[in-house]
Amino acid sequence: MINIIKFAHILLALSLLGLTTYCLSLTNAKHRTELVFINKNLLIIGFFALLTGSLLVYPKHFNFHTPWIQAAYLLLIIYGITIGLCIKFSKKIAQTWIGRCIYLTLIAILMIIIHDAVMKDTFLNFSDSR
Amino acid sequence: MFYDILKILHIISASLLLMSVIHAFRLWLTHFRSHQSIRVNDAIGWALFLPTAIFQLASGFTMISLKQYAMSEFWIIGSMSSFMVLIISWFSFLYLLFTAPPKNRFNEALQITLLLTTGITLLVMIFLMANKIL
Repeated sequence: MINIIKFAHILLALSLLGLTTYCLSLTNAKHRTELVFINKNLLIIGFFALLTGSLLVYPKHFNFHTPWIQAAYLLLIIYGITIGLCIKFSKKIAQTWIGRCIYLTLIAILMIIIHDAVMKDTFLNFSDSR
Repeated sequence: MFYDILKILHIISASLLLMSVIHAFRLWLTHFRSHQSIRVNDAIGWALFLPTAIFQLASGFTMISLKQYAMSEFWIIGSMSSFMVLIISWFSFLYLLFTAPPKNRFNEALQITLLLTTGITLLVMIFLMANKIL
């Protein structure tokens, strides 16, 4: 069962990054409807990625106090809120360069989550700077 | 450290590969619904497909050698076979997408078959790589 959950989690994570990159290539007024449709799907995929990730925490011998897991939750929540705002203000975003900046930021967020999951450590490690 | 960096790049290039699959599927859907021919400048899928596929293979083999996995392990044989099937079926699909005349029943059926093969082998490959089992 864990194998299937892990498989689903990786597939969802890959889809999130792939579709966000795809959104970056669609940021213009011509593709606004398609962009909103993909954004709504990204929210659903993000939710299931969060769910499958949460189901993997204890079986993989981590806990919810693990710093990189907490960071992943926080980053995914920021990602979800940003996507939500992209849907709400889709008209403004589709016509300006802001859209591109937002999607680049979202890609960076996903890359940080991937980095943390691979390294099992936080990318933005503030505790070391003290 | 090098292994971890390679793994991150492997995951990122996998998502780019997935993005070009999505793009190719979208092109095919437009083609299938309206029977319009596809413009060559829509071919971002071609541009992304080759470098990411080559990088996937190269980084995959490097990681296998760094971790000193035996090449006879089932998940490695399975992943490599799936990768080959995926590349052949997808390459054929893209070739048909850009060259086949519209409103040809046989080509459409062939494209659906190739696309299904691509999708199924992609899922099998990700399952094997994610779990390193069987």
